[in-house]
This record gives sequence, C-alpha cells and structure tokens, in this order.
Amino acid sequence: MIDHRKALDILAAADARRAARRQFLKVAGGGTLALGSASLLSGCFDSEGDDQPSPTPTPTPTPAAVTDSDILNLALNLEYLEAQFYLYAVNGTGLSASMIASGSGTAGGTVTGGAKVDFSNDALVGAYAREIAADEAAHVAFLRTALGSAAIAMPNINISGDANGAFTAAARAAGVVGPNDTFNPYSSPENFLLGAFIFEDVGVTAYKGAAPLLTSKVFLEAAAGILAAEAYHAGLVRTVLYAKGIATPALVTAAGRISDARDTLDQGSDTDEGLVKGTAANLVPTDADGIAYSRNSAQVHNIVYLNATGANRNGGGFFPNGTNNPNATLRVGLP
Amino acid sequence: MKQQDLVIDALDSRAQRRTDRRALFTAALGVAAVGSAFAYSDPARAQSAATDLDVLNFALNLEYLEAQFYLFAVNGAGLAATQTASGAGAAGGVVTGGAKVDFSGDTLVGAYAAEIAADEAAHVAFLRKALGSAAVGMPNINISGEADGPFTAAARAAGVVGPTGTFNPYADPNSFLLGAFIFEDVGVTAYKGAAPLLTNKTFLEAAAGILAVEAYHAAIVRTTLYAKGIPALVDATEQIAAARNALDGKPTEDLIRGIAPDDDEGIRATGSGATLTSNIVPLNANGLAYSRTTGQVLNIVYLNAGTTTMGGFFPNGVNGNIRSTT
Repeated sequence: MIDHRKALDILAAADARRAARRQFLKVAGGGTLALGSASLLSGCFDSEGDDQPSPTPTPTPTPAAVTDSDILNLALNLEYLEAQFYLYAVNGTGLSASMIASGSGTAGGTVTGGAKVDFSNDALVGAYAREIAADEAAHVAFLRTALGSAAIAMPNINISGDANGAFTAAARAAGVVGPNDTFNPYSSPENFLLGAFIFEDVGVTAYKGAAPLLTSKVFLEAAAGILAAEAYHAGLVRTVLYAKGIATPALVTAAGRISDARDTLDQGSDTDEGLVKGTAANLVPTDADGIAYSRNSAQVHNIVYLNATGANRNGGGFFPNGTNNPNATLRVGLP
Repeated sequence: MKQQDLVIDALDSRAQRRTDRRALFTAALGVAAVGSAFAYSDPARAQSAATDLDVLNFALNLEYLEAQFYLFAVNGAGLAATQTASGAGAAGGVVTGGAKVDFSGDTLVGAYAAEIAADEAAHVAFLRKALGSAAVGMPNINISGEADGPFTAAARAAGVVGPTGTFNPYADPNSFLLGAFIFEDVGVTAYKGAAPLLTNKTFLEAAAGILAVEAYHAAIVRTTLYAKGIPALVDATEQIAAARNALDGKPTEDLIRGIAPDDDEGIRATGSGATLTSNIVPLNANGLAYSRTTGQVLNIVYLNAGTTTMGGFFPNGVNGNIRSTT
C-alpha cells in the first residue's frame, strides 16, 4: 500500500527545495541572507547580540534556475583552487592540462604562482600536505567525471606568494603581515599551514551551504562526502596549527586574524572562528548547537575574490577573472 | 555469553551478509527520492523508508553515547537527568562505567577532550530540541573500562589487547584517544549515510552541519594519535579499523555514494622521506568519506556482525524505531 504521507513529504520537500533555490538566487542577486531557513534565523538573531538589520535585496530580473550541475561546477572552481595550491606546494607543479580543460575540451586557464615547499625540516606537515593534495586532486577528478561535458574549465587562478599575489593581499588585509610586507605560503611549513588555513574552513562552509540544495540524492550523498573530507582537512590543519601554537603563539594570532578577515569579507553574522576562544582551544568552528556554519555562493566568492569594497565583486584575489559557471549568479560576490 | 565471546564469534563467523537486499534498499531509496512513491508499496522496502524523526532519534542515541563518554572523561560525570529523559518526560536509562581521565600529563589532549565533550553535549541538546516531545530517552549505555565492559570486548576482538587483557579508555590520555577513535569515524559515516534519508530541508542542513563537526573531531583524534609517533598507537588504530570493517559487513561498492565493502581505515602512513603521506582522512578513491547504513552502525556499536537489536555499548539496544542491525 502506498504511503501517501511519504509521497506528499517528498513532493513537499521538492517544493521547499525549489523555494530555497529561488531564495538562493535572490540572495545571489543582491542580499545577504544565508541558505536555508535555519541560517535565515541565525542571520537575524545573532547569539552574540550583534543585531543584523533586515536585508533589502535589490530587485533583479529573474535569473536562471540553479541546477545540480551549476552547484557542482561551483564546487569544482573551489576544488581547482585548492588542488593547485596543494599540488604546487607538494610537487612544484599543478594539475595536468587534461584535468583543467572544460568537459567539452576548451583549454583551462593559467595558474600564477605556486612553488614547492621545503618540508625537509617538518616531515609530518609534508606528509599531511601530500595527503591533502591527493584528496583535492581526487575531488577535481570526481566532479569532472560527474559533470561530464558540463564541467567548466579551470578559470585563471592566482596562488602567488609574491608581493603582488593573492596571498599577500589577503595577509595584509587581515593584518597577518604589515601593509608593505609579503606573505609567501611556500616559504616554510608554518606559512604553508596558514595558507591552507585560509581555504579549508571556507570549503566546509561552502559545501554545507550548497549540498542541501542538490536535488539528486546520489549527488547529495557525494557532496556530503566531500563536505566531510574538507572538514577532516580543516580539523587536521587547525589541530596542527594549535599544537604548534604552544611554542609559536604567532601562528594562533595569525589564524585568528585570517578568521576575522573572512568574517568581514562575507558580510554575514559571525560564522568564522579562530583557534582559541578566550584561553580555551577552539579547533572546531561551531554555533551554539555544535553545528558547522554555512555560507552561500556570494559569501564564498566574496572571500576568494578578496572583495572588501565591492570592486572585486566579479573577480579578484585568488580568481583574478572570476570563477566559471554557466549560471551567472554563481560567479559573483556581494555588492 | 560474555561480551567478548559474542564479539569473537561474530568476527570469526563472518555471518552471511544480505548484500543484495541492502543494495535493493539503497536503490529503492534512490528511486523514491526523485519522486516515485511506488517503492513504498513493497513492505520489505518500506521498512527502510524511515521518517525524519526516526533518523534524528537514531542520531540522538549515538550522541547520547558519545556525550556520556566524553563528559565522563572530562568531568567524571555525565549528562543531567533532564538531558536524558524522553521528550515526553520518561526518565532516561543508566550509564554503566565512565571515569574522569587524568590529563595532567597531556594538557593538549585534555583541551581537545573538553572541546569535543561540549560539542557532543550541544548535539544532544540540539536534537532533543528539534525532536521535542518525540525525542527518545537515553537507553542504557555501557562505557565501562572494566574487564567485562564493551571497550575491553572490542579491544580483545580487535587484538589491541590480548585475550585476557583489559582496555580501559580512562586510564591515560593515549587510551582515551583510542577510545575516542572508536566512535568518531563511525559518527561521520553514520551521519553521511543518514543525511540523504532526511526529507525536511532544515533537518538535512543541520545533519550536514553535525556531519562536518564529527569529521573535525575525527581529524583531531586521528591527527593527535598520528603525531605522537608511537607505533603501537598507529597499530591499534589499524586493528580497530579492521574490527569495525569486519563487523559491518561487505556491501557492494558505490564509489559515488561512498559505500564500500572495506569502509574503514587506520592512520598508518605510506611512503617515507620525501614521499611520506599520512592517512588522517579515510576516503574512497574519489576522495569521498564513506557512508554506513543504520544497520551497519548498529553492528559496530552493538559489537555484533549478526542480526541483533542490542549489545556492546547499548546493552538493551538503542531507543526508537531504528534499532536493528538489519
């Protein structure tokens, strides 16, 4: 006998998901609401008492509906970035040309910067770097396979450790280095860890925000699998930084400043946390319910574009020409 | 039969797994999820179509277990009675065992324990809040480190201690880490397997958020164990992973969904020198974390590879509608 309640639940869930996608698009078009009803509430009632004014989204023409393919391509851009950073750090080279071309054969973009890190004095961090690099390369390969001909090409990426590179820009803005100093994540294992720290928590919040929007249960489970992987990575990096921070408190200070900078860039409520809360260890960034935070596409882009003023809304920072996506709303940061 | 005998029998006998039926169930879930309600016309398939509340209550049982273990380890005391009663007000079960760990010789691990304990307590509180009057009370839980407790049973079966040895996770910080290791990866695979079962979008997002936190925890534990550079600790994780792998059967591999006959990994690194590569993150070839069904999770926490509804850490089984290993 058919359980009609169950069938209605499924249809209702699909309706709710479509409604959430419409909301997601309104956000992407010009607002700061977060994905999902729980996040909407948390945006209004910040537990720390910082009142969030009600967002007033700018009216926009109805954008194209977000598809599962669009969401996976959103993820693929971030995986390209992470994979290139870790592969260069470990090997001195990045993804092969065949792994960055679009699914229909258009050549991928260029990588500016990237260099092999000397891990000879820190065997453990080298071991972690190799493991994470392999995982991120596997994520790129998996998403490309899942997307097939719909896979976007890798956009131009900047992972340079030079004075005019994305890492220096991020570090200066965060106050990790002085306004005229350089931050090179390839110059030492510690700097490499801070560079990794920039990405990993962002990846977790991005997948947490996007995965529930997938309509395919199979892809949802796969996205949950990548979410878990990124959380393992973030936990690994945070644990190592915190432990090293006993002898080198500057690492913990730097991580805290990077976290604050991300919180500023994403314009949302306090969804990013450093490695300590007061004097207590804080290796797991969670809300009061012990749940990881979410970010929507625009918030994630604001971070990776280093879009502090709106000038980088369509590209900048780690993606100097923006990310790639058939859906324009999934390529932009916040106004 | 003593716990130890049950576990050894289970691991030795390698009960025939109903992999075909499991594949049917998972396939039915996949079909149902894209709109076909007709899968539920088959009662056998309908059994696997748990409601959102069933899934959340299943998770709540696991969070009770984790929270009690960490809270006892940190404080020497567990959840308050108000946090273990059912949502309807019936008193929760009893905890057997549990003891405060002396972290004075390893304050780093003590700090991690305190943070994880707080997170697990928060998960219990959150799930109870989400479930309201439907929240199940805490079942009887055994987290004893004694010779007749489940930690010893698991350790003996895994070969971590000898056949008459005792494993007490409260004896010292390293033993505590191994005790934590038993739970955390299982929690990740449990939430990952259960998340796609949820239909309510808010619950799904929350489950994804708890999944992420369990993965952070597992990474903390695995990284800390590895970084100690003690081969016996690494070996123990390999043995525990192998034991969990033996308990939970051999489902057909699905590289996209993260289902695998071998779905568990210790922390032994590969390579050496310039090729040394850690194994902190247990992932399949696609870089995806593994999924376990609720039945597989119960195989592990009941310490029984066969068909049962109780044992191990839950001597009288979990509460709620999802309580059997098959």
